[in-house]
Amino acid sequence: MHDFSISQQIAHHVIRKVEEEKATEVLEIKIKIGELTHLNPEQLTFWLREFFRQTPASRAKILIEKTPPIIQCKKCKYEGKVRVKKEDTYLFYFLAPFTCPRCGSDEVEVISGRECLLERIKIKR
Amino acid sequence: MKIIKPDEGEVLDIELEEDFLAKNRKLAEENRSLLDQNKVRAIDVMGSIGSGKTSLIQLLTSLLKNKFKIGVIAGDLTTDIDARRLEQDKVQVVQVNTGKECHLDASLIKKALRSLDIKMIDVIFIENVGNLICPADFPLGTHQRVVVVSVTEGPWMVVKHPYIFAEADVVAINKIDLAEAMGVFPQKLIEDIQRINPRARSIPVSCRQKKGISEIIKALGI
Repeated sequence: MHDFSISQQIAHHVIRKVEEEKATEVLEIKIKIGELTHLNPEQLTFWLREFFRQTPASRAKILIEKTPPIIQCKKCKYEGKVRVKKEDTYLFYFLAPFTCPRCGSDEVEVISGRECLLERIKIKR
Repeated sequence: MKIIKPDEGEVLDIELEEDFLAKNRKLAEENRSLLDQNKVRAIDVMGSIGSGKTSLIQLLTSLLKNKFKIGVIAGDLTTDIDARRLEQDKVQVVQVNTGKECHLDASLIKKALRSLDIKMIDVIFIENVGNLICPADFPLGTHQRVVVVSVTEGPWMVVKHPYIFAEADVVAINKIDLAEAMGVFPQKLIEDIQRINPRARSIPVSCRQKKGISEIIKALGI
């Protein structure tokens, strides 16, 4: 739902950069979305295309990568991906980051997976 | 002087590393330290449309207003219906209209906090926009998060929106007076919440019958 406002912020940022760098065209935009966010690559791409109409970014390739959650356990110091067992349901995928896969503690911190990162852009002068 | 200029048509790869959700989290941290400096406890109240967020806040403020100085931030798309409902003696209320946005964010709360006299407040309830999805992506800087879910929303409400329940400290299961008519078992909802978030306290309430409200206060530790 909030893909609209987030895309708007990303588009503004890209266009500002284009003006700063006096670019004539944006060739590529790389974005990373954490799997723990409610953002959806398809919707994000749709809105970005709308915002980029009649701008130097109108023909840019939009690359969106989903990044898995990384957690850190405060008890046993485990740091890494959440291990999802085959039998786990969709529900448990969301649940998993909140407990440590090694010691089972719920004192975990999500250190990655909640981002919406405009990583880099490729522009032409 | 010789000035080096890029050739026309030169391609540049620019690293930006700009995190748009982190901006909100940073503002949320700022809100939190402002609240802490002023010894104000803030509680984010989330839940779907019609689950009973305003009713619960109304009852909580009535019970607490003689003991604490209360503030309420009511979030809504366009109207001030909720702010008017929440206006009571000794309670400061501010309405935040998000326009088209489906959630409150930390920058709106920052503005709202500026329009409240927070030196004169002990507890702030923030009523989020009626939505079980988007608010989970936008922490506001509150100390606790309450989710209100009602039996009239059917038996699958919790399992279908696990993420918002994973973020909750207290869950109010509202309208239990209608559970039988709805054929929904509150105990089943409690078990679903338990599976998603063992730390959350689930409390059956009926805002209409004023049941379970003091249990919510106890669970919040106010």
